[in-house]
Amino acid sequence: MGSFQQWLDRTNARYGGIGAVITATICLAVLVYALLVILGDFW
Amino acid sequence: MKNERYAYRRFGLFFRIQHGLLFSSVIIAVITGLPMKYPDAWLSRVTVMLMGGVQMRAFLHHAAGLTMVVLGIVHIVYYVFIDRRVPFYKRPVLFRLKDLRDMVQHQQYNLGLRKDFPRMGRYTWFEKFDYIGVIWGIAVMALTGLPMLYMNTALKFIPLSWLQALWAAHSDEAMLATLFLLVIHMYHVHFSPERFPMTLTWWHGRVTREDMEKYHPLELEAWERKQREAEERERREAEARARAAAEAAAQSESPAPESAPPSTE
Repeated sequence: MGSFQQWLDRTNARYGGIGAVITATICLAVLVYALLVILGDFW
Repeated sequence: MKNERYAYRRFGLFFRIQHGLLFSSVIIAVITGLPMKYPDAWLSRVTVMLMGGVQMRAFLHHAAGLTMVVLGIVHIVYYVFIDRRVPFYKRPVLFRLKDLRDMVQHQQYNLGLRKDFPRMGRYTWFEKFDYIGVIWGIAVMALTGLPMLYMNTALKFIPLSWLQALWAAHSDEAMLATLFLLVIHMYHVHFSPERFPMTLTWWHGRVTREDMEKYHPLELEAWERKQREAEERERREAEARARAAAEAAAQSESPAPESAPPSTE
């Protein structure tokens, strides 16, 4: 396990926030898509 | 061990091999199954072409499915009938009322309505939910997939319309499982800020102390209690051995008691 695990830990410490950004982006994209579909049905 | 940070082993080798077989077969089944659900999509045509045609697609899909069925049977048989370490009804993976409480408290914590994170044991409520989903999913996929695989035999017992219903159930349950894995499981093991870019627990089976303290404090306490008891027992045994050795040494140094009867003079 050694070095790869340490690399993952370092990456997480530095860039762990990217995970939150990706999650937020996906959620937002799904929400916008759903909104467009719903509005599309109305229009 | 090379990395002291990951000192807590949660999953043994057998468990990790099962998980490896499961995710490999699920990934193959999804990639080879989706072109059947959406045969007109351009991506389906590309996928089928890349895997070597429709016959290879069918072969890979059936192989992955049968792997999953065998894995499910081995898992159930092993944990219900062979592994006797804990009686079945006491297994930590089974749902308890506490899990419902943990789930509510977890949501309250996430919404800022509660200060403390729920204190959970060996398996958290969402891990149990995930697990039941896999058990249920494999059962549904096997019961709906096998009659389609052995269609000629199945048609001797059930009408064709049933097979069409099984097809619908098979593909919808597959879609549900795929979306659950992509959205929820991927979040927990890849995109969560605690895990990004990924956790290696599936490979080495170990977690950190912080993980244990946050998600499995009750299990951590039980482990530490056991460890303390073992150390205490070892210490008492060492003391007893030392005492016995000292007594033996004292006895061999002191003069032998007189064997002659005392004088009567």
